[in-house]
Amino acid sequence: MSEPSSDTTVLTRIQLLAPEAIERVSGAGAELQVYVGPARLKRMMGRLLNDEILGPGVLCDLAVLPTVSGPGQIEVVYSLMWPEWRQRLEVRVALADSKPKLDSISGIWPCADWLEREAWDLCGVVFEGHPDLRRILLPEDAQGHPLTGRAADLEESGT
Amino acid sequence: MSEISNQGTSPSAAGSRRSGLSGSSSRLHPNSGARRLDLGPHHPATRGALGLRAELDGERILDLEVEIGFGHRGFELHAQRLGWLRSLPYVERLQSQSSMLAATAYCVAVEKLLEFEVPLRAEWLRVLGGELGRAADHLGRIGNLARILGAGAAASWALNARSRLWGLLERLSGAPTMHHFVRLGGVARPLPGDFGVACRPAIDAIRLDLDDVDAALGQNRVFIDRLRGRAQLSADQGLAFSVTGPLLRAAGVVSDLRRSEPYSVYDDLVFDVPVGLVGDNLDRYRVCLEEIHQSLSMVGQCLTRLEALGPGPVRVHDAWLDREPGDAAADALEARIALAQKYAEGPQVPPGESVSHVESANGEFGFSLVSDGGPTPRRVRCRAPSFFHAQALPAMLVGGTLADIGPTLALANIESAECDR
Repeated sequence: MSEPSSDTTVLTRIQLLAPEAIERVSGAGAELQVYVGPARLKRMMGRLLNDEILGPGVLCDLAVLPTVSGPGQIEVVYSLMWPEWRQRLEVRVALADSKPKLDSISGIWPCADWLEREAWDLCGVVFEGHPDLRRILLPEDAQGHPLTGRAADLEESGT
Repeated sequence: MSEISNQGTSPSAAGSRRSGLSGSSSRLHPNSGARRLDLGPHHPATRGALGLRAELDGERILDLEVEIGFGHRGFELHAQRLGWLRSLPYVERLQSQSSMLAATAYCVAVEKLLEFEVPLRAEWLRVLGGELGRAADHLGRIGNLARILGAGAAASWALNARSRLWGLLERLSGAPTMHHFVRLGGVARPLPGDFGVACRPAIDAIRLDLDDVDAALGQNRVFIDRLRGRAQLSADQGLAFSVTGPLLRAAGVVSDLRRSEPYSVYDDLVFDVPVGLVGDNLDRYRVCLEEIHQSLSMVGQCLTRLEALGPGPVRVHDAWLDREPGDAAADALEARIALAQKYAEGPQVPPGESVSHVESANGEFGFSLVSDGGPTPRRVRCRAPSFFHAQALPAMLVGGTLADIGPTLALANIESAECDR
């Protein structure tokens, strides 16, 4: 019996584990992206981590990217990888860029602790339920979040 | 509670910048009767500034707090303001010892957006320079480790071998570090004609240096006792903290992007991925040492391939400059001024997103870029392995002794330029 390719395996498993969370799937192979509703992110991440079939997964990165096609929107991108399957997957959550809020997953994936602190520090995304959401790269008395908005706007405002 | 501080790092100096080190939000137990020791932000074992606050019972570490950010220079924002081309020198300064690997990660991400097909020679030259840099970076760790453990002779042999590598890198690129050799669409210049003549004997000499270093350290009972079973990080812990590179391989996980997601020409190279057994400092030392041998072997293979390929282009024809190679009209003064202006503006990058992952000396290093079609990137995000390794330090060190901190920092190679960005 031929082995199914890893990206269909991982995607099928996710669709089985958390069908209600998935809003949209795009890309393929190493650039597989799954869009998830903000309210269902935490539960889905918990199921992904504890799944016996998928095995241990890694949260490689957490990036906050502006949405080019939709002004006023950002995407919080969780880059996941399953070393055993050699498969990468991006879980993306679209948020409005004014006062963005999301559930913290630092209780599920230990490395999310500092990643969420950095995303709050630089990009202003609030992670509710984070045990210690304080600045990590900027000094404690810094004002604002430098990576919100456009770099050019910041320059004009003199910051 | 008695509170002491090591020389040159008064609590006020550290605490004035960050409340984390001033203790206001400390997780340390206030009434435990234990002793608290501030190490850093400046410490001989770190590369750059890293703050550690240990709570000690005797010399046993009960708790450890890690503070980063002392070297934060707003790299990502700066890169967003500078534009696609002009941020490249700052990318190189994220990893001072193996800057070609960092530059490669950035260029790969931009080249994906520009849909550049990098010439094959340039790919081989990038790998050649990158592996020389990785070997130099690992030799720096081993030299630092030997120095901290008082093995002065072995440290000087390791650093001597590193300076041989720097000599080769200088011959290749013109500079021993911060080479500015990897450029958008390829590399700055072809392989110098006499490079092979200088490189092959140097590699043999470095292998002999490595044998000397390992004979002095790897067989030494004192050295082994200082490393075996110390600062252990299991495979599960490593994956949970997203630790990558030699630290994860030391824990027995065969994880190497050059093997698992081969990029550039790594598919055509023969190399082993050395792994450890338990993930302690001794495994880390052995993995790093073997990786140097593997890198040197890859350098030899790259040389052979480059010599077989012969002369030819090492960079994408700069289509965005509207200039044909050897164009006589381009030598006119006006044309040169126009060319300089185009370089200052950089290429027009079409809208889109791209991601790159490169196996740097420290682990997975990569960029996420967003372009809206404008003259500057909309977003530059850098995935820096040292950030994750710094977060995993308490998992390695709590339960160990104060004397484990120095060797662990030397082997973890947390570089604040990269960690703090």
